[in-house]
Amino acid sequence: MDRWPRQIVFADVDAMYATAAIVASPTLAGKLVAVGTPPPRGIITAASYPARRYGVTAAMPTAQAFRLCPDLVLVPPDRPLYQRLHNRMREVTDRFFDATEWTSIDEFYADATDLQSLHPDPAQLGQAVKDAIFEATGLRCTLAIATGKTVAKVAADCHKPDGLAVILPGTEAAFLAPQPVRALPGIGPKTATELDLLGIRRIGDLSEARFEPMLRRRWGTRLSALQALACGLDSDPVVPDRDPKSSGHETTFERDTDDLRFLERTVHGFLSELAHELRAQGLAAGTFTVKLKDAQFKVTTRQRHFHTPLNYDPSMWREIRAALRGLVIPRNLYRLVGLSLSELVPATESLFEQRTTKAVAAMDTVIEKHGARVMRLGEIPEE
Amino acid sequence: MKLRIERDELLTGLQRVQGVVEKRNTMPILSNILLEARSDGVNIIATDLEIGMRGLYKAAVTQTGSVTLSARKLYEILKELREGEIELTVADNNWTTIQAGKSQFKIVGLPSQDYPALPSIEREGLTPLTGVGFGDLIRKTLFAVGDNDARYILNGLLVTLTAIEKKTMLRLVGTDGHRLAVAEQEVTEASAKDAPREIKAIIPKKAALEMRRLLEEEDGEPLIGFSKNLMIFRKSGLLLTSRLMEGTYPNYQQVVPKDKEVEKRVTVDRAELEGALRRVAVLSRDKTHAVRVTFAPGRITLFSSNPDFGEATEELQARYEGQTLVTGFNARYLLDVLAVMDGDGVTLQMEAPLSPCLIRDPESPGFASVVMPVKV
Repeated sequence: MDRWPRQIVFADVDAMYATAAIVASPTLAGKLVAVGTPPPRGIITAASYPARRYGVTAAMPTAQAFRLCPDLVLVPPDRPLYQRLHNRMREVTDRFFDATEWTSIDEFYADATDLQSLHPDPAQLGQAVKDAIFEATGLRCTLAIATGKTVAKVAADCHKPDGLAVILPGTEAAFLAPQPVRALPGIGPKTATELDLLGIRRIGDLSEARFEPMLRRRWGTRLSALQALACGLDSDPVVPDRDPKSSGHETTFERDTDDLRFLERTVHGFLSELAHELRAQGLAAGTFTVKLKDAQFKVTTRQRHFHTPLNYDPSMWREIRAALRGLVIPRNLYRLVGLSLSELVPATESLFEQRTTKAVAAMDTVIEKHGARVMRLGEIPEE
Repeated sequence: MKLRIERDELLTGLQRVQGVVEKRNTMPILSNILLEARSDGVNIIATDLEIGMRGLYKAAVTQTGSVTLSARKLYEILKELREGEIELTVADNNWTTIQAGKSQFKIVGLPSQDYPALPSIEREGLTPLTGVGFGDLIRKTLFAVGDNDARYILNGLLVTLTAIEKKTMLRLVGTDGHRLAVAEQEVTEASAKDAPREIKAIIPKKAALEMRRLLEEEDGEPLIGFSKNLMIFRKSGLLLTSRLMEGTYPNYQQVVPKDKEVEKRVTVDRAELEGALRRVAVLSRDKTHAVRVTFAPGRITLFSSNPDFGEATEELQARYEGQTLVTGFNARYLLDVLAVMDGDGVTLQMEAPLSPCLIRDPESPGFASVVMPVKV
């Protein structure tokens, strides 16, 4: 087999959140699982493939999902679980590849150009990675190999679920041509509608001479880049992960609330999850942002710096609570509260809290293994 | 009040108190200094309520009295004046005339009775210190003291004086919770007979900085003493007082690892390690300056990477026979320690990748520093 000039792998876990729920509780297998928050306000975060057949999709109001699929099994999101599975997948990809770029918790690009002597057959390599991920996590993914990131991504998207695609060098343009333009990164629903009015529906149409004048008017000088992409010419490199910039969590309540205690409990819950994630990644946060959305959908936020980057929730809570209390207007009703931690830096160990650090590390190990519900920090009663 | 004084003499006095004068404008009078004309000279006094400094300077006083003047304006004027004698005259409304040759300045003063009094002190119970040694101890520990840390007590320097038999040991400790420095030295002479056996005091960082400045001036043997809530420092006619910080200093002895056998320590050339750290840190991540450090038999390897710029690596020869250990440090923290050490060699010792790292100078047993690693 000829050596490829570049060999890029793209993989995307099939319905990760929904499958993760089944991995955690195998009794859910075969059921119509969707991850999300309960009605009336709740939103579906992810739907399993069986549920998708009923028309249930991500970002759909949960109430509507139940109307479409009355037997739907709703599972609450479990971030520590997803993070744990993500970390295990990373261990697998780090074992196979030198450079891996995770673009989200459940999809990555990897550069396999230098692995061709070791794995001459890309299909075998792809299957080995898929199997290793399944073995480590119980998650199935769709994986595609091509000479560039775009082609690999488009190929994976049309081979879901549990697919494996290899687009040989030289066949990129032919592979892309019949795909809908919407499949191309950078073309959103709005642009797709616009193109549809012009009669441009497939990726191949973008390179056709008869559409050229219209496209030129729409894109100007950027058209050549788009056309190159449409032919599968794409030299975008695999960039090993950039630093995570921030980590956050928010929720919409079932009913609007003006209960400060309830808001505090919610934010405190977010904080313990986020702080656990930071510790698991060896990071500490320099800044936090508290966010509130009131019944009129008006969003207010408050951002503060910690005196030094932190990742131990009890040391962070006082300032976060003060910011939340400062932000809440008495008797105002709120529909959403959120917390995010940013300015993430590698955590420096503390000299005088080595015993605490060890105890917390032990707790974190238990949480990693058995989930966030089995153990958490105790609380000191309010003054 | 009326006096004549050499421009250089007054300027020296003003320079010494510039650091004490309050920069933030909480109480307007605290940005002033107090001049007290006495028959034997003029006292220059400054305080920020926490620290106070007083020095007596040679002057020909024709009329005793006192006034407070803006420390900054007076200093700026004196700096621009030529050498020679100047004359200070204070009018009843506290306006002060400075006459220097053909230059004349009239500056607004505030009444001296509004100026906060320095705490009264006793002359007894001061321990003499060797000047060079004490300044050195401050230099070796001050870098580790916290800066506006939320844990208030970590913004101070711990000073302990321990009298054992006829020896008095002076020990300074600084820490910001991530790194720590301890330096100690025997004080030349035994302290006064009735001195307590151990004195522990925490002084503000600013007081330590001021002492260090005064110690850099050559002549005069320094003396130090403590009362219940005050530190007193004297040197050649100068008096520095500082309130002590209240609180419990963390148990630093507990976190300083015990010395291990020589083989378990990494011994490396100090200048080489410093240079390599500086180079590799150029490509470390901003803010944390995280550098990965690998100790392996015979060598140390430094590595840094920054997703936006690239990566750097350097290997150094080192004496080490223990197991390979991979850890990470804030390069800044290591460089700060290396900068205050004097010997050619440096030893590092740690148990595990995330345990404290003990840094010592084989040639100066009185100094030890501990730096906590970062996860990289």
